[in-house]
Amino acid sequence: MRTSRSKGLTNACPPQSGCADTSIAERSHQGRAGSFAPMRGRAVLATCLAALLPGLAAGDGPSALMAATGRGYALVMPSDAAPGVLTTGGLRIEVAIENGFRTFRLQHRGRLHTAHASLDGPPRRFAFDLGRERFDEVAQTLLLRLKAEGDLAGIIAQTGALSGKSYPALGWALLRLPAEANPAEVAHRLESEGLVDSAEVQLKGPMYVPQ
Amino acid sequence: MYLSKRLLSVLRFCKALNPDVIFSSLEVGEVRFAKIRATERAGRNRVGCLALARRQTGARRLAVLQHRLLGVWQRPYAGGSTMRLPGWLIGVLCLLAGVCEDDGGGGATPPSSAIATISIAPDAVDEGNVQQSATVVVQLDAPVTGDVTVGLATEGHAVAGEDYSLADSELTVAAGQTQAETLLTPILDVVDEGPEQVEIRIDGISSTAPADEVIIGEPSTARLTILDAGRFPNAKAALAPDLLAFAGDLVITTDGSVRFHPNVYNWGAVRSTPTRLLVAVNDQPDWSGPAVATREINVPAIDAKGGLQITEELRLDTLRSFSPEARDYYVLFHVDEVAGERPGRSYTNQDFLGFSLDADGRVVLRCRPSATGTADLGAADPFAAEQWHLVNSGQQAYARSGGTPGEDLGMAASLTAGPTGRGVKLAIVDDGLELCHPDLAANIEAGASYNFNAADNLNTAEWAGARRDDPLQPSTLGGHGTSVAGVAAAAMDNGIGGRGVAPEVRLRGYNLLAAIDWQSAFPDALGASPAGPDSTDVDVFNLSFGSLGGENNADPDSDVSVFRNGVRNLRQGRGAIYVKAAGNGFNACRSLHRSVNNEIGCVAANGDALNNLPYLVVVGGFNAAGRKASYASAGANLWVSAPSGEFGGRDPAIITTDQMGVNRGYDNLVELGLAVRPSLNPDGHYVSTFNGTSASSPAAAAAVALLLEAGPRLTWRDVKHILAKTARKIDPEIPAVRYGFGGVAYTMQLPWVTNAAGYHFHNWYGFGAVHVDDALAFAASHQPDSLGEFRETQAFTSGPGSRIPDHDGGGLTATMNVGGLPANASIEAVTLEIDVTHPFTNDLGIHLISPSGTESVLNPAFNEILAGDANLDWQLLSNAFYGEAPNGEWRLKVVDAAPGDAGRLNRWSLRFALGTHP
Repeated sequence: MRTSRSKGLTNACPPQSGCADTSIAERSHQGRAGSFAPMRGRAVLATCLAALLPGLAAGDGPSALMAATGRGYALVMPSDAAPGVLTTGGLRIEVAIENGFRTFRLQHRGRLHTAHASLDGPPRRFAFDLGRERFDEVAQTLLLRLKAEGDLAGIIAQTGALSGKSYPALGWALLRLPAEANPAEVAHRLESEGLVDSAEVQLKGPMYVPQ
Repeated sequence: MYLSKRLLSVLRFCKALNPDVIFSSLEVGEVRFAKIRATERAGRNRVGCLALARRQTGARRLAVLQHRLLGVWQRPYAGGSTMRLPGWLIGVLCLLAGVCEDDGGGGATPPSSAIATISIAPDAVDEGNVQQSATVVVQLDAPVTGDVTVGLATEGHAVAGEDYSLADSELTVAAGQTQAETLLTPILDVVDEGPEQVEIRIDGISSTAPADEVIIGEPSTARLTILDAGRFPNAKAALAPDLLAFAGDLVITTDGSVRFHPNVYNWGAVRSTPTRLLVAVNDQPDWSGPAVATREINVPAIDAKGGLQITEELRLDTLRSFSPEARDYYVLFHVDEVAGERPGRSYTNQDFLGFSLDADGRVVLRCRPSATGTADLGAADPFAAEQWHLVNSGQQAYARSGGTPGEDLGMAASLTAGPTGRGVKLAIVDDGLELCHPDLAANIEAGASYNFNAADNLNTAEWAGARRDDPLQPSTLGGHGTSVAGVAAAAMDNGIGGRGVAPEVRLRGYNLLAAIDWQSAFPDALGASPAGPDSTDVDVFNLSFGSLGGENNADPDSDVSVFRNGVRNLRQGRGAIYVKAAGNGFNACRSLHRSVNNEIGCVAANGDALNNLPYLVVVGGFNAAGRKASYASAGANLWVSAPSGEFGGRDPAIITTDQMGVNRGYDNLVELGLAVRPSLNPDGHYVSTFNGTSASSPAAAAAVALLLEAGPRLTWRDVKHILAKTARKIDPEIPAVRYGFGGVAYTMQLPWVTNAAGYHFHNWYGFGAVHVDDALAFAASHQPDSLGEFRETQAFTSGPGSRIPDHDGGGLTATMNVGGLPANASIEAVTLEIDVTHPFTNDLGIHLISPSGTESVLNPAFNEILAGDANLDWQLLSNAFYGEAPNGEWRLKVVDAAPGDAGRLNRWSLRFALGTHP
């Protein structure tokens, strides 16, 4: 199980760990998931569990999933969500198909946030970063903390990943997933099946450009 | 009116798409003109689409005057620089802006005399409405034969640069035309000054045709009243979106298709409105022909500080069906401006990309040696004497004016006596590198470079046909990494080009910025990978890039751990040195611009999360006059500064290597300096207009390489220490910036401060300008690894916070006692973590004062990256306390400088990076 120190900027409990300092839903209403919330013990809160469960979709179809990132938590949207409403952890996301884009809309703390994925081209997946309170694109890589260095090959095979690379000096490995895979689902599976110590979804973050 | 058949056909196409498109054109003898003038037709705001296209037969060039171009990325270009654009493209651009006008004129040969007058409309503008510009029009009563240049001068109570900006100080009325115009835009300030007048008068007039007689008539002066918005006007009501277009990822597949993934990024503080992106492909290097292919793509509304990546596929066989003989293609990405964007901005909505095909019709992805430009070993480097950043003698570097002698890297001695970087390994982490450039090839470490988009046995190739060890940048319109590399490592005494700061360093390139899978490439390019590539043997990493994001914290797993590993484990535990560009955002006011931003900057260097890590050497930039480069970002997280130049038109920029070929590189985009001196640069391998902190970073990185050659046992902290100890106090008289807020004086920017350990520091320069000779001399007597154990402390956390007084220069001061650290500890960096609840954090200035009384501004008030943002949970770094003792009472000062929004400091904490300095 990850410790708060390993998460750096956040002391949030990892999903399915059975511990919580505050629930994800509560945190999202209180403010950003930052580095100041101390670990308050292992109390399990109903709202935290609700946030950790796969989100409810408006109908059949994929759900939004909460996933850990290197900076906190993010709500990962399905790339092929049908028009309608996704709800999870107190967050309500409207999905629409407009002008060649799949559009996600989320009202959060008085602000409307939007993300658009082109219907053409390879699937793209967005997540709402609860820490930064904005949408960000999800990368097709997972950051894994392995139980043992030799586990990576097996994980690649079991997940159908394109490749993986371990960085022993850094204490983690990267798993490259195919475009159709949902990194949040793969992360949940790896953790729930105990194949890794932790699996974090990676958000692409701000664009880096030459100066 | 006459039109070339091709131009006419394109303009008719534009008009068919949009009935509001109007244009005028004129042919006079061999010269054909097309002119498009901004209007307020169709309800659109003026967008500064004043362009004059002139195509000269024979020379086959188009010049766009008074068109400010941001450049391929964020590199700023001066107004007045010329850029090649075809007339059809001008028409298309104006189509998108909806601001083209048809004067329905005729084309008779004009007379040769005229009277010039000036007018302005409207005659009053509101300072608080920065989207409302006044248009200054110079009018001739009749067209003349030559181009008429009209100088403009301003007077009055309103002050240029403080109360208003005039886009152009000189206008050109093209031959055969009768009008030219420019924009005067008010600047919102924080001073209660009442209405102010500015007079704009014609100040000199001339024609290129000697037979023309053009005189100044009446009125020769126009007057504008700038209405005062009142004390602390509601600048926040003027928040605006600001769209930028980027070429984005390029995917090249084995079946011959080329796919573009352009980005449209909204850098403004509010959501944009739907618009469109135009992708246009041309097959002529001077953009003189019609588009081979075009696409118009819907762009939906984009959140503030948000990006949208659009996948667009243009297949090569489609392109070749239009132009089967073409080998070179040039692609323009243009996003139409949206409602609310500030008109007349100096940043553009365009980006460019080009690619070349080989004999088999495949995109060229491998460096090919140039047939010309062969090195002549032992001969002098022809451009070295103009490279002011090495030794500044006041030379012009092919600009119109020179700099100040002595304002350089301080390496006169080492230029002759060495060292040269021999044996030191320098990685250019950038968008690519031309391994076979004639002025770089000798220093390339064979097999050490890496192309993250090439195939290996595990991964799908994003650039089919690319080689793993060849990070050639396929885009032919500016090889950023190649130009960066030249600053650091151009070979010396080979009879070609210039000279790098470390001309014998071992050079490699990692094309991280071009990597389609950034997440995988990041640790690989920065020292965490022993294979594929092996970056663990690199001594110095140069990072001439920065983020477009707002306030952001580095990911502790994928960012911080990479650098922490590098400084702990590389170079046999002595640590690699990471040298990074501070950023170019000083003038990048997107949504809010107050006159005080002219003094303290728009976007601070703290907006890039990597700049706030203690493991890097963050480098600012200064120009040939010895002052901060106009664009260079400032911040408490700077370490040193190095030469970066201005734009190479009026003032010198940096001379360095350019992509090989006359139809490639930055000299194909900006017609200044070496780009217009083919006798000096016949092969197009060099450029004299390179700038940005992208240029200062490799200069500093190469200086580090010199230190490591002289002192191979120096640790990464030794290097930082030596640079800080020996940095030259540049621009020593720069004053503080101080205004009153709520009746209380507030120092928004400090002058040079000398801290308790004797180090001088300024947010514009860090510890000062790199001085190579002094650094080498100091290193000769410095005991390596003598700074004590490097320790990063736990966070010292404050108690409950309190309210921040609104609009009060005195601000809130919170204190924290730090104790228990070794009495002989020396601060190497201080990291502040601050948690604030506030609806508009752009109001806030954040200062830290040490127990010794040293003050540092960690976030300046009105930092543009916070425009429109609420709340803060931010890590900020200051180097200003270097060498001081950490124990004692620390004070945090938070000032809310603007009225109308109030907030609260929730919590703050301090972490220290410590050593034990002798």
